[in-house]
Amino acid sequence: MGDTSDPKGSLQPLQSQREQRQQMPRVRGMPKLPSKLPFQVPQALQRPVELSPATGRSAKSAPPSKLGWILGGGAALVAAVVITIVITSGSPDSASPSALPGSGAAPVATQTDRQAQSGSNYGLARGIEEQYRLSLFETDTAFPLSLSVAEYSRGAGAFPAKTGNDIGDATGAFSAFLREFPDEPERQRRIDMEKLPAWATNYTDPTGVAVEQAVKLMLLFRGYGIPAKFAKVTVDFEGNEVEHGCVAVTGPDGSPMLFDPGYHAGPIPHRQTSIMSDTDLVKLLTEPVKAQAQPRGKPKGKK
Amino acid sequence: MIRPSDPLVFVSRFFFASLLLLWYLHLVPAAGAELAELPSFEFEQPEAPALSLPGPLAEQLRSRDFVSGVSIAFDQVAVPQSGVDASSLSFTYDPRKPDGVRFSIELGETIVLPLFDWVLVPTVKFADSGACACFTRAGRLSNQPDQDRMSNIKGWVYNYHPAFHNTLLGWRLLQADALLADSEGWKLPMVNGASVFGPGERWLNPTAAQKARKDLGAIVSACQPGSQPHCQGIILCDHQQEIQFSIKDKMLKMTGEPVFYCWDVTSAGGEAVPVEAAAKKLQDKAETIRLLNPQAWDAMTKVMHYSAFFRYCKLLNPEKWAEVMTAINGVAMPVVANPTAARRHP
Repeated sequence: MGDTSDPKGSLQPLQSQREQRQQMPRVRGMPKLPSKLPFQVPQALQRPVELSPATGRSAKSAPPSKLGWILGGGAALVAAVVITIVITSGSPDSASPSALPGSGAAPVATQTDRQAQSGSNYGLARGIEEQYRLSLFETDTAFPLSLSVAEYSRGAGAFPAKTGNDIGDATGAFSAFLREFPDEPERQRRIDMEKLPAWATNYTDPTGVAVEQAVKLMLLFRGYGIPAKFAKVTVDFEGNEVEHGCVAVTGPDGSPMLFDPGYHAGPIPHRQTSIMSDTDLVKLLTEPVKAQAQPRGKPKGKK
Repeated sequence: MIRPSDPLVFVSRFFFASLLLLWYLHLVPAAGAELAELPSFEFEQPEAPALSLPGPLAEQLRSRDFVSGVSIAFDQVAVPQSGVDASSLSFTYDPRKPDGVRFSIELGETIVLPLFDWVLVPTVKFADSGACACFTRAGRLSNQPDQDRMSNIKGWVYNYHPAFHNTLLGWRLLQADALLADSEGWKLPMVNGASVFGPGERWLNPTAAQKARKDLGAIVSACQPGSQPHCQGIILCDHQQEIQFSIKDKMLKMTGEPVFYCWDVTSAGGEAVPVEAAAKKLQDKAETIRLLNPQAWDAMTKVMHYSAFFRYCKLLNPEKWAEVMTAINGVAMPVVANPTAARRHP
């Protein structure tokens, strides 16, 4: 998890990025960026928030009044119930979908919801911490660790608000990921399948969807501010020998916790995994397929 | 007291609390969950009674009423493999742990059962109930008009053991039973165009399923009415299967596979008798049949294995088992609506 050998620098501090940029040669023909932004940053965002050293809260905020909370909460309860009833009764499609196992009981978003969420969160700012570098590439089979802007905004738009706890955040974001990127519509390949190694083609996943989904989840986690790595799985949680991939996030005790789109579960207690650096992962995903085709049947060790 | 600045504070908190409440309401699952879809069927949810038929299965299989009203049934009690001393076996369910590692056993070392709650909780409840019937497609409906309507259209009526009703595992049992009858049995129930998976389940492999369907063509047609050897019905069960457990590589290993029990009634009012030749035909192809829908077959196999193991646990240590049941009964399971009636799409 603490791998620092990654030349793509996804985990490098901001300072070293600045130093690198200063050393980089200027690209010819590149348009010069305007010295002023074409829009105004609101005054409230320009002013730093003053924090109270004792509580960490804004020093200017008044201490909360219990009466205010009770009145506000009570009135809000009535108003919100009325609004909800109006919304529900006005919508012919308002029946909530099933609460699915592992989905955190959140309803499945409709297409309209998705578009609205994506639109409202379009941009790069949400959930990205300063010490990470975010790289957004257009679809590029030559560089498989990339997300299109559309994919990024779609994923980030579905993620819940952050809590500051990596595992809690990852669990919430993973549930949203499963809802937002279900399997069937995701058959369009980003990774060049001709280049996908044979180990990533197990019996339930003959086209390498699990690896692709894991890469997508890993990048979305990073964009969300959660340090995440690719984990190669060789023995799954049931003891089956597999060739599979998922995403590792460091748990509170320092051990990796695995989030696995291919098994629709996270955390999931796979039994034998190895966490890979981005360098090794890119190498693995782009190396030419050797004559290593394996028979596609049940996984080894399976009854 | 409300100070002069309080109206502003009040309004801001009002909106904040409203937003919080709306967000919360948005997340709370609805009481009536949406019924998932399968391409070959038109599902309904008329009111139906629970399926609650006690064992022992070996005796019940002679009853014409039982065999004609049950599709999947398990009642074996697992036994330790030769050489395994399980007298000191202890077990616990800890709901504070992450899903997937909550049930562990102590047998010289700590072994975590690889079960997520969507499989574990209904299976424990089923094992505890003492019943043997899990599911039937030849069930009854609570209201006679509904029953008559389904009879007229030659539809199927699904009854579930209470532990499986309105769970994803209930869906998997329905699908396991329909494997031979449904040419699109490899598909999983879908909600809003996306397949419904339980934690730990893998993606589908349509190619393997379609190849299996092709390979099984002759077998499937052999199960149609009028075919030889003749049988009136098939029950998926653990009849005469010895389910043994052992520990290997820090895993609980189980033996035994679900079997096809083909039955017939040769004389009016007589007992049901097994049709061994038909059962053997199917059993020989069990692995290919599994490929039609590994998710459904594997879920059913887990019910068979682990319900047998849990029956052993209950017999060995009833006090500890009562603690487990208290914890299990406190688990809130998500509702995944199950159909109670269906007909084929024309």
